Amino acid sequence: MGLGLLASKAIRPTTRLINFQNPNNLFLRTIVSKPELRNPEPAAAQPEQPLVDLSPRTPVGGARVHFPNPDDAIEVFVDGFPVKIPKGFSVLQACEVAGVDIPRFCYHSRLSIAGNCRMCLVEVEKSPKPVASCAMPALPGMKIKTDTPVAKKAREGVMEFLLMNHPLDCPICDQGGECDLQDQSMAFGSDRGRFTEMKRSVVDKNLGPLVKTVMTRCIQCTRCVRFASEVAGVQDLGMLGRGSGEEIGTYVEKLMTSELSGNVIDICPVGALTSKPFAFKARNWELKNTETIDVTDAVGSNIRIDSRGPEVMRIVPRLNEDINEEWISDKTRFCYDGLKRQRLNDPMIRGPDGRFKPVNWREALSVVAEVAHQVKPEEIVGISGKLSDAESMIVLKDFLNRLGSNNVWGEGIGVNTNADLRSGYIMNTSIAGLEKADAFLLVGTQPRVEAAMVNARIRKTVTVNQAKVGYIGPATDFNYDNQHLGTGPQTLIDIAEGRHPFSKIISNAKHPVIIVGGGIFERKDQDAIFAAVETIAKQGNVVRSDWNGLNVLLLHAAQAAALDLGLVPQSENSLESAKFVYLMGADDTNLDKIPKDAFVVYQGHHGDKSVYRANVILPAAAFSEKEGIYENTEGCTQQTWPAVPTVGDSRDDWKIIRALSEVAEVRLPYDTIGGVRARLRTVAPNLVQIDEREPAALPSSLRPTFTQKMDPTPFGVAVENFYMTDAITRASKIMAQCSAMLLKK
Amino acid sequence: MLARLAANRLNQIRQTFRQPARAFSTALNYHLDSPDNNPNLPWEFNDANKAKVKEILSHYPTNYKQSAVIPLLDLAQQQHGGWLPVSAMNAVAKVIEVAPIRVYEVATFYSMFNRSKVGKYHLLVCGTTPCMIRGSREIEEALLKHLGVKRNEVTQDGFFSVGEMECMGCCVNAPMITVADYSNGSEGYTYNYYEDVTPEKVVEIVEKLRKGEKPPHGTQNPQRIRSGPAGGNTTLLSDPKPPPCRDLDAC
Amino acid sequence: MAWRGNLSKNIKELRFLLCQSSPASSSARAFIEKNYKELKTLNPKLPILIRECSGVEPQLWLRYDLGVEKGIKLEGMTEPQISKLLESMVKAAAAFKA
Repeated sequence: MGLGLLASKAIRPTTRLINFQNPNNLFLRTIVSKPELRNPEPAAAQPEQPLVDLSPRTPVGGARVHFPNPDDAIEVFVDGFPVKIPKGFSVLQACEVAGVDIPRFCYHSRLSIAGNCRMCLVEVEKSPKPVASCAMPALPGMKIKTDTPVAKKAREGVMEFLLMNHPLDCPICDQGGECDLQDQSMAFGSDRGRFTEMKRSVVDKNLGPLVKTVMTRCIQCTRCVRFASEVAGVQDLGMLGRGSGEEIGTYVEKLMTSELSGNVIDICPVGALTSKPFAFKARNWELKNTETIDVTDAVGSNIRIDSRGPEVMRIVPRLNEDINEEWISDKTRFCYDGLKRQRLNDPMIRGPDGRFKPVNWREALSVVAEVAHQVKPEEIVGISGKLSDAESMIVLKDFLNRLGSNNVWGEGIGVNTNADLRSGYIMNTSIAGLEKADAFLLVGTQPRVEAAMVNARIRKTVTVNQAKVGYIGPATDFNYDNQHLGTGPQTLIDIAEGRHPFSKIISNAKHPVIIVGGGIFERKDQDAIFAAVETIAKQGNVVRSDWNGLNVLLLHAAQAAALDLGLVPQSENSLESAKFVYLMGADDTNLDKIPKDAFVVYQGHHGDKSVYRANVILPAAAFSEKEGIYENTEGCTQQTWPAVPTVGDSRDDWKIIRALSEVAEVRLPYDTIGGVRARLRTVAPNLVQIDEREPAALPSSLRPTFTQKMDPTPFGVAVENFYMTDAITRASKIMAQCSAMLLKK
Repeated sequence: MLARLAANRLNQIRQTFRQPARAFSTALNYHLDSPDNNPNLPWEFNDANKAKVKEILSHYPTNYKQSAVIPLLDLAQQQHGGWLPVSAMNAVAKVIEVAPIRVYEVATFYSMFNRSKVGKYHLLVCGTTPCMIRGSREIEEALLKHLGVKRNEVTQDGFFSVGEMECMGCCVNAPMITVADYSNGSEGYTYNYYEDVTPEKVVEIVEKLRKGEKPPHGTQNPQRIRSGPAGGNTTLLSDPKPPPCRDLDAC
Repeated sequence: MAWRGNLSKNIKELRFLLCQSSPASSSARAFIEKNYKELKTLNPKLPILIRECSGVEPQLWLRYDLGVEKGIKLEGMTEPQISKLLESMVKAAAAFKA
């Protein structure tokens, strides 16, 4: 486009002469073309290509190729290179296996095939016209050519068409620098266009506080439409109108309320759908990427924190086939602005007038150590929070054990919880294993708000396998078909005794899955409920040598590691009779239970609820600022890496407690993180196997049942407000906007 | 000559700025709530149409109810006096068991689904080439001037609106208009062609419709019979001759 | 086996670390499969943590008061030997307390 148009604007035909000669061409253009560009012959007419490099090639993006049936592999030739692919592969996938990256806009490996952008056109021998490689199945012996003049001209032509109605927004478009259109036009497009008419523009749609829309930039690839209806399960977006007047929209004024709505930002190849909180904040090349783990829920989605200096600018997903595929929930994606607000940065002591006074570390630690020695060991209580990493939890436990106290537990874990056998509290099927299931029984859990990525996986399984889902709990929205079997433990008993029609579905299923919600750990009758679930599992053959379908869906990032380390309350009323309470990031405990004269130490990174009761505040580092081990609900251990420096005077959690132990003269035997991890290895060795999932072989049926009586109270909702569940999300302005606008009233 | 040049230049400028998509469809591709068109207004098929809905659905397999979306939207449009409010589209979505957005997609795709108000008699003038060279532009001008409205606008009394339509297949009888009669709901819905019209004739037809009469549809040229030439056929006056030989291989 | 009921008197936490599938841990696995239920029923408040991890040597850890811990390797022991070891540890703890 560039100079030619500018030049022709300069010679604007206001002169009568030019107008008279050619009244229908308002803007004269000079077009440069070469003979070989105008006449592409099929490759067969050209001389034979030079020798093909037959050394082994890696698939594009390091993808793994899975042969479900090795006998069914077929061989095709991509640019002369023979490649073996499984039977149902498309031409585009075959080229990917051969290491050739074909440009595309509308094709996405996790969505259905649309074939409407036509950018993936390649030449196939014996085909009269180029074929859309994303939609064409690869047949044995096909000769695919991706670098011939036909293919190149096709790409240039398609690119020219796409750019015709695309506004010249690159300087103000957030997608600049990571825009598929920019990259592919540089790589595959021609250097100029020939479009001289008026470009169409489209009205922007309001999709909510998270997704910013500039619909003029849309190239109608329909990726967002397919994502919303297939992966997110909400049919909100559609393609309205036709021809060049097509618009993506919701037709009526509707906000995207799905918890996966932020993923359309990643999916949109152009800047039509971008992140509203991140709008105009930074360009992608000035951001430092840190690969880390999300802690807002128990899934442990792999994320990449993009930071600029000391500030986290945005969070984008990382690929992890086993846990979160390529998606993250909205809470994960947009909680980062909570990391900048309400931060604790100095140790503080509450003076006699009730107000906090900032002090230095030495003073704060000595005060805490003094008080710790003044109380009896059984009056010391420690509670670790939802966002605590494994290192800090073991250090807290060790410290309090050395002071003589056994009352250390993790938030959300009730007194009767049996943390002995791992299979009793992790997702034994593993998140990826859920894809094999064909029947689900959800007991007291609402996966959509508790673990959005597990819900996405369940939805995928329901769609592909036609899996049946039975749900016991209060009425909630699901984005897949389900049967609401009941609201309380009575239904469980019915299914266990075989009276309920759903028990037959479980028995007939080849891979049944039972998911028990983590909210059960707070109930007094959890033993009885687990016993009922075990009965159902036995009858339905849910737990066998090749398949363990009995799962517990935990509620927050620290819960699995806390249970692994044995952080279970030992006695009923330890909190009510405590005199020294150490809250390590515990913001959701019932503060009313703490006696008025207890000395409360709060160690955490946000000034959330518990700070108001604290006597001493010790500032700690948030997940984006420390190296910490987190275990997700399926038992996979992962590690966060620090992306930004700590705020103010705060330190890592475990270091604070180690220093405290020194001051309190019960010095802990480790000084480095390696030492802490060596200690971890003696307690729960699976916590040091990073990025590995250790399955639990010993079945949870070994557990004895203590409470036989089941409490008939119906199951409650563990997560009231999806957008505000922990200290970071409660401090976040974006989450506040979301919960005001997007929650269903 | 200068005036012609100036007029040409003006037309060219107007041409580049005109947005053709809007002129053809009767509404925008997104919905704006108004008191008589918003999702909260209840709408359902009347009893007679409920039976018709069942009949329409019986044409399609039971697991592909969504194939019935176009006939059902047409029926809803007829019932509602020629246009589809958003609540009618939601009602159709409920009948065929799809998400409403899928119905909106279909309704915005086809220009015959009017998503904003039209007159009791919706006059559609064919503007494609054969009609155009036979004077459809003058027909349209005559209609618009007579009724005092612009394209896609409804007259004050709500009786008429004028729209442009694609080729309706009457090229032999060009120019022509279509009258979509929404004055009697879905029972009295007719969609009739008035062919071989002239600007004066078309005004006559409009006035007759206003009085409630039903002018005869088809060709308005009294000398023609349907698509035949004026003055009677000049060919095909007798039965065709039989082929020379029935056994083509022998000949 | 009275000692089984006396576990929680002096021991604060019992931990078994073992591998899910290796032959070295097979006796530890057998011990747990046979005895865990009984031990837990007799000592409901005692945490008996069983932590499996591939490649780990079988170990028994006991945590006493004031954070003192003792770890014993169970490699090469048979199931009755493990039982006897546990018994001796319990008795030793009781003797120490007394």
